[in-house]
Amino acid sequence: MQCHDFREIADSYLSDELLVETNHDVMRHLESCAGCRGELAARRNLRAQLRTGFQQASELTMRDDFPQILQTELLNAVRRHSRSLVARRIAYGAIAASLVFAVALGFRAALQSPFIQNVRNPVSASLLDANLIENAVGDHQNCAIVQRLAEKPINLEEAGRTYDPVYIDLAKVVMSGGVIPAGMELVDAHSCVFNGQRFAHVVLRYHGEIVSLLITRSGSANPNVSNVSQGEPLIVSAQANGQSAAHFQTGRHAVFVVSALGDSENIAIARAIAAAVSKHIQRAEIAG
Amino acid sequence: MFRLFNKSKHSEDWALFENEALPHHVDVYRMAMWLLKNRDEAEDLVQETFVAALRSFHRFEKGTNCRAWLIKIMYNVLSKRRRSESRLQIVADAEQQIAETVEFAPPTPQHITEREVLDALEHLPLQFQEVVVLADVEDMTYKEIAEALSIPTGTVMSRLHRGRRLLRAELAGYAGTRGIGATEERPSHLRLAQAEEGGKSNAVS
Repeated sequence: MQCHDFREIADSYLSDELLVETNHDVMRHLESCAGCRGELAARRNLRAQLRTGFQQASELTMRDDFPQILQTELLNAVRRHSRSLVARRIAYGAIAASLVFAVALGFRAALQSPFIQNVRNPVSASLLDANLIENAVGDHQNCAIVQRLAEKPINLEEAGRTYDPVYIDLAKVVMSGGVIPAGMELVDAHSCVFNGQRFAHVVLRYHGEIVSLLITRSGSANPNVSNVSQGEPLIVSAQANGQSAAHFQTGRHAVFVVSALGDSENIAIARAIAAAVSKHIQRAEIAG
Repeated sequence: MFRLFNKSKHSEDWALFENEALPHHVDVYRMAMWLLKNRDEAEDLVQETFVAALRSFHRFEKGTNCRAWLIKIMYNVLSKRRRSESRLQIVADAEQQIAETVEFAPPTPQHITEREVLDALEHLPLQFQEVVVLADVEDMTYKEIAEALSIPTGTVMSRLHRGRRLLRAELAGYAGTRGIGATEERPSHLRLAQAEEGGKSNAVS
């Protein structure tokens, strides 16, 4: 092999793209040619400089907040995609359409109920502390949507024995006949911690959207538990981080239904489960 | 990771996407910025690329090069944009002209800075810059580059060969002006390469 031949294929040699025989020819030539060894080293160095230069060029570096902007845009895309799937499914069937109509009538009735408020500002809206609402929404997003909690969730029954007897049999109560709306399915039930707040977390799916039922201690017994009136708790809806959080209270617990379905649908779900869940909680609170 | 959503496709997809694709946003951004030379346009392109990637993530084959897959999507998005904006102008026969004229092969200069390497790269026609960056910076294979740029693998190989040679010659010119290398005057094919800059800008902007 001559120097001219080597220089023609030196880049392919560096990229390990030559046949074994040609590689051997190159190595034999390099053993006896200091000039070509120097050329090979220079080309290797040039590639390294190109890579480093490219990676370190200030004009190619993104601004600090761009990763966050990108992530938000992607999460919004996930949400939009999920909603569009729901819309498509609804559009595909006349039977589905009639069911939607029936459900819509139910929502209307629910909204006219004296026991439901629908307020957007969590601070003024709620009988609960705004931080508690934000924690519930944060748990829904970080546990159910992106699965990124610092602490691993644990089995709900085990958490019931260790932390709060209200958690025991909660999933059974929720999934017993007639409690949740038709078409809603159980995805998982566990206990998790977000921002220092422990929740019983029943994850459901409804119309392709993830819905979280979250129950947590709300501190001392609330004097406003007139909240539970004639067996029907007062349901309040708040908005945080683009999610609806319908919630109600029992003596020592707060119950949340969090999703991106929108206030009306979310309240309707909370209303559907409220009686059975609050009865279950109250029974455990009295026993405890 | 705690597998909460065995049945929840979109949550699973998001978690996978977050692990596999999102870490490459820095590389994709750098490539976009290199091509567009405009921060706002590069950010738009990266966002559009990742949203498109998220939508078609089910088509990504696990275990293959995710960065190459994302760059391919980025080029698709860019290509659609260029078509819709009717801004793409074909540079007449630049490749053929350069193929015919690039014969001079100076030794690779050794005392050059990274900045000079980047500046020299900028002086190459865009089609040569692209393949050199995709191969030597992004470590993409011929096949991956061919798929990303929608050109035959043979064209990738010849462009890469010529692009690397052009880059060395350009750098030899730099070194020559500083009295490091042997070349006093820029070789004729580099004057051609510079003349192509007008064409390059048209193709990009």
